[in-house]
Amino acid sequence: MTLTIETRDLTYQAGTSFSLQDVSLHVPTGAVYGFLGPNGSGKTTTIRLLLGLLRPRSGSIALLGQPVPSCLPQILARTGYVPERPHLYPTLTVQEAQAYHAAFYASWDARFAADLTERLGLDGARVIGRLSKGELGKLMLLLVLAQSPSLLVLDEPTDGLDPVVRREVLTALLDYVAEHEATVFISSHLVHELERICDWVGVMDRGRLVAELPMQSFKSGIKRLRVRAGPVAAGDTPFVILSRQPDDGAGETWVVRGWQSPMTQYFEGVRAELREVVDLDLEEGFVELLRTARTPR
Amino acid sequence: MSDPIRKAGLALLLCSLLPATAHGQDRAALETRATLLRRDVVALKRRVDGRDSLNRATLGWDSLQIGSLELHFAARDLPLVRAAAVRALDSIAPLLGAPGARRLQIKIYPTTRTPRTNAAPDSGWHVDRLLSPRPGTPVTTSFVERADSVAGLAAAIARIAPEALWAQADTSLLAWLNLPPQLQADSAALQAAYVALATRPERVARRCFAEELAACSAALGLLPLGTDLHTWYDAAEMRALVKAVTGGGQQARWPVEIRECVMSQDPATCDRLLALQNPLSLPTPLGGAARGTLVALALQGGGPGAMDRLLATPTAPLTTRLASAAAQPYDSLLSHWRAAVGRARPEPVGPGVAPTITAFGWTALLLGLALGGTRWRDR
Amino acid sequence: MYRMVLFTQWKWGRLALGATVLAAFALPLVAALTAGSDTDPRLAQHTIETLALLGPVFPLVAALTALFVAVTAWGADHQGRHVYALSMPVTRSRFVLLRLGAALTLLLVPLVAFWVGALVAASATTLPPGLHTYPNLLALRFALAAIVAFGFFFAIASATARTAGYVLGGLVAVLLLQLLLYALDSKINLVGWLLQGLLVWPGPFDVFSGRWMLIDV
Repeated sequence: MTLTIETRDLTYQAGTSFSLQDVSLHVPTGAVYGFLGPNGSGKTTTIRLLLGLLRPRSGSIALLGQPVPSCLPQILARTGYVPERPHLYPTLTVQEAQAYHAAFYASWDARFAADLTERLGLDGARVIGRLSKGELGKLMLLLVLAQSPSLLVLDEPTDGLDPVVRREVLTALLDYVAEHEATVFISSHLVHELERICDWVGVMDRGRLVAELPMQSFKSGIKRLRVRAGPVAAGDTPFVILSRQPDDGAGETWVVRGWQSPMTQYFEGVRAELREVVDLDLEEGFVELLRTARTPR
Repeated sequence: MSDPIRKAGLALLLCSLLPATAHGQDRAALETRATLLRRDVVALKRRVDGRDSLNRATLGWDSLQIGSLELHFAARDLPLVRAAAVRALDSIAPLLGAPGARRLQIKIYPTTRTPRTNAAPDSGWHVDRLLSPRPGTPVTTSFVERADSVAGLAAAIARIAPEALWAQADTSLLAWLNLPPQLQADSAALQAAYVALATRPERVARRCFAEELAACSAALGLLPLGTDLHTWYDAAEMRALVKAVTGGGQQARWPVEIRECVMSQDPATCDRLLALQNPLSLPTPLGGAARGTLVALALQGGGPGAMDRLLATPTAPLTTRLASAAAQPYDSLLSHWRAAVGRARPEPVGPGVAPTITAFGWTALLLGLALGGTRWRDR
Repeated sequence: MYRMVLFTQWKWGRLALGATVLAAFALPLVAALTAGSDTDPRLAQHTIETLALLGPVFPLVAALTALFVAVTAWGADHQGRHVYALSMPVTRSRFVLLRLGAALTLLLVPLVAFWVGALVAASATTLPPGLHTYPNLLALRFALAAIVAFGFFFAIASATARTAGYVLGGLVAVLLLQLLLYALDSKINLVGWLLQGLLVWPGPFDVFSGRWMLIDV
């Protein structure tokens, strides 16, 4: 498996209150990698480190097989970046912004830009400072897609957009990925949004990468179990117990990670009855994962 | 009035006037209050003067004569004053002639100056000439801080000495000079003379600017009295002067004589009108500043005794006195003066080569810093 | 690339630039008008004195012109916290060079405006003999002052807020230290030394001092 983004033991200190500790990311080429985490967990800081906007205290970064920051111009020429906050020059018009962007990217696809402008319903003569949040989001995506990048780094690209615009933006993104087989690194705290588009997921919490796995494993590995007459001490389980709480009735509810069907034998061994196995959605799994990460067993 | 008293008086006056103004009291009440305050200030001044007199009386005064300098000072300052006087005399003695021929009386009295902040008061000396200045001449008192001691006192004595010297000059010389010049023509004075020469409006000054020495004499006011107006101004300039000095308001309301001069261009009427004016109110082509440089150059060129020779014959024509002081023919002195003034042309407005190169150097350095800034440096 | 950077810079700072161009063009004209235009020799002294009074306005306008151009060069990037510039596929130094080139190009406009204004003022002014106009030398001095000031402001504007803080903090520290020395009745004149170092050759701002006269002897 080739990696488009790879970091090793990335550490960064911002003042005294926040730090990133030993972040090691592995983003496979061609993947849509969802970078999850609550607000303030370090997602944006990690992205800024990836793009050389911040300098790490220690660790190494490689994007598209080249080291950051020494090969940044070459890397950035193949990378499209949509930052968390709008950064475009507000005095330019939509058309001028495209011309400005095109001047810096040899791979700029003018025809694609024109098509996308029309498809997204953007007015080329509108001044950026007067665009709505949705229009601005569309324009930023347009600019990065038209530069034909191999890697897209999107930091909360749909945050604050209404559902219609969000859908338009994500559709345009997925169309591009399907056509160009690009790698997408997308951060969001809107878990359910990523559930549908990502095939890999990384979860940040309090400056640490607490999980990194294929989306399928993530979704299927976390289960809610309804157990009757469970043992007082669970002992050596083949899965990870994330939480264990008494039911209203006589049983208990366990949330576990790393569940596989043959593991039902465990309950027979401890003379407990496994009554139900429930799939959790990504958001529930995410919440349980964070809970475990914060209070390790 | 000393500084503390002036400030106290002003403060009292302001403090009392402000609330009164705010309450809209009438003018009479304000004047009454101002009178009372003035009385308070006078009383305060008397008390402070009395205290100063008492201080001086208890200090004990001494005097010292070194060369032409006669110094009066507090007895305890004798060693300092002696050292300072010797040093000052080195710079001014060459101009003073034989020792004792001329006496410059200077007083040096200990004083305390109001501090500028709440720091310790500045203590030191006031250096002043002893003779009362002639009415209308500026009085320079020099404050020397105690910390500056000998060097400061010497500099102050050398600065005050010319004033003390010129206070002894005859009236005709002082009237011609208008302001007492320094003993040496420095570059600033010569530069001021150049600017005057280049900018004075009178045709005679313009001719002097064109290096016509006879015109320089006229422009400097060195021709016999009574002929100045005609040598200074031509007919057109005289008409303009009459218009400027007497012809305010609407032309239709001018007196007949002014109209005859200005509009009918009758030179005799212009002469008559200007003769009626106070001569001091008429612009002189080259006034005190330029004349001072001529005298200073004469003294410098004349060497020892130059001042004595200048002041020796008050009734002789100024040209003769200047030539005698300079120990050279008058024409030669004038030519020397014109050349010295000509050389003193102020620097042109453009920057020189070195400042230009330096400016580009600094700019390159600053822009280099901008380019090599650490913020986004690759490594 | 340069053309687009120049375009964005112009678009961002065009109002400020327009104001500086207007001020630079008008200043020599205003100076000449204030000094008066007359061959009457009696006005020569008045002319010189009036222009000497106006002298400090020239370096002030030069410095303001430089400040506007330097600050507006980075204005758009400052607002976006430099993220856009830094995500472009060019090195930081190349981007600064682009900004610098564009800013210098824009700075030329008010400088040329000043020169043209000075030439117009000089040609429209009639002077008494002995006085001369110096439009070229004055424009050269104006340009030098503006360029040095531009270098200073551009360096600060392109640096981090922390660097700008260090510069400002250094100045404030000198002032505070001077006040302390003053309170202690010390004779040490730090501010005097600082000004001497900055304004007297070979200090960086030496070109700001001296005679700023459109008309002189």
